[in-house]
Amino acid sequence: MSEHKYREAESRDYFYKIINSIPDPIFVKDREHRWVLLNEAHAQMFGIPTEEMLGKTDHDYFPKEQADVFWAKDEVVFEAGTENINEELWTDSKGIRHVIVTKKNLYTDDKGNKFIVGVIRDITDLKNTQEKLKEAKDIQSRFTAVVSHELRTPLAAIRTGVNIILDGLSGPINQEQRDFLEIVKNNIERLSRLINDVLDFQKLDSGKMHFDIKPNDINEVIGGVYKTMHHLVEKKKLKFVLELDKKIPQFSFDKDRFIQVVTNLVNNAIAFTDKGSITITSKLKENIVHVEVSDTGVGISEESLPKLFNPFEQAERSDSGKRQGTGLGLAICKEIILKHKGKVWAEPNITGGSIFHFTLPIKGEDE
Amino acid sequence: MNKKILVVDDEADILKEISFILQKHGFIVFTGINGQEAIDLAEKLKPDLIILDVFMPCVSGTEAGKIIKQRDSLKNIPIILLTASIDNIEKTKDECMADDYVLKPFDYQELLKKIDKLIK
Repeated sequence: MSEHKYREAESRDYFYKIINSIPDPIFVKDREHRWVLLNEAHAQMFGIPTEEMLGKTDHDYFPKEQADVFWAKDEVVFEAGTENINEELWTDSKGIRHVIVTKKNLYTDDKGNKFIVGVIRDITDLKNTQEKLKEAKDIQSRFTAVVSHELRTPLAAIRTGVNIILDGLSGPINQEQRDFLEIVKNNIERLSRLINDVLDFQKLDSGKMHFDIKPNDINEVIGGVYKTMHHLVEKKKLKFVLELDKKIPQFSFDKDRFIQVVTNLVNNAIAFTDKGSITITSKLKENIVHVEVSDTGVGISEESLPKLFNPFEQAERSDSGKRQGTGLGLAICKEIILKHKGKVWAEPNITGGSIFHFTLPIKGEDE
Repeated sequence: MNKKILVVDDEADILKEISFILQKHGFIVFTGINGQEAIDLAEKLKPDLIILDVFMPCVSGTEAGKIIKQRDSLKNIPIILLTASIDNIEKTKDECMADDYVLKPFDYQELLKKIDKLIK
């Protein structure tokens, strides 16, 4: 064997080693749609030895309808010369259906002969997994809806019954009875909030939450929350301060959802502050509205900061005894803000306590 | 004269509570446990207002509401829907032309306010 022949044989051997080590089927077809090169993965997938397939076409192996589809798609690549990626259904010799993705490129050799170089990937497992995941999400979604409905109905009966007694409709009660019924009532309210939060979070998470986005005034939202909550702040003998930037124009957002966000942040501030003040600030800077809710409370530990907005992650604030919330409030706030293309974060207040921030872009709702 | 209210819910406990509250507030109360009874009792008693639960066996509250609001003899009777399901409540309300709705678990004071507003 001449040196030249030897080298040629060696490089051919090397080439086959490479393409045969690739787990995805590879094929090359000439202009007459005849296979001229196939790797071992191809032979394995179709269950036909390579030597047998070489020189044949799709019509020699596949049912006519399927072969016609493959043929037509190949023609597009030969004619247009552009890369083509197709998802196709293919039934193997055992009758099992596969979803395959075929990526085809046109190759023209130095004599001007056209070839198609194709790589096939079997994505049946991936497709099945995606399908199962979607089903699981749907089941979860239906489950939450049913459970929350089934929880609300007995809760309604309990709540109304307790209120009938508490309000004296069924006759007078003594102070001790009243005290215990108030405990029952507060816990019913807490359970109601939990059910609502779970439902809200589930809807946000599955993208089923409907947003009513239209021009609104963020200062009006803050003012409204101030009005409904100042008695709660005063009950704890705290100062409630508003510092609003009057220059903020109207911009598009869901008003009710932001009442929910600001209410949640203020509720947290009240829960974790025993003396001092709660301040809500609004600012406008380069078409970005920035809202801050700061308090002089117990503050947040460094470790809790990054986890604060995760669902069911209750902040280990300095006094870990207070675990009043559902653990979903901040996760819901975050989802609402993200859906408005805004940002949310928290930081310790240098003078003690914590500051919760969120921003909302004024322009770009149309994007 | 005391106003007549028809309360229809398949939940016996809630039916008992609402009846009690309404009676204490001077209303004459009649009760039913499904949509068919809602229609029949409405026709027989001609109440001043109907409180109707949405999900009930046989004839649902939604269907009963629709039928009541389509009958000339009954269409002027205000209906307050009662439901534990937030989803599509506005749509359900529009569908059966109900006048208002209350979500379970409700505050009975809120229910009384809504009744007052509809039958002053």
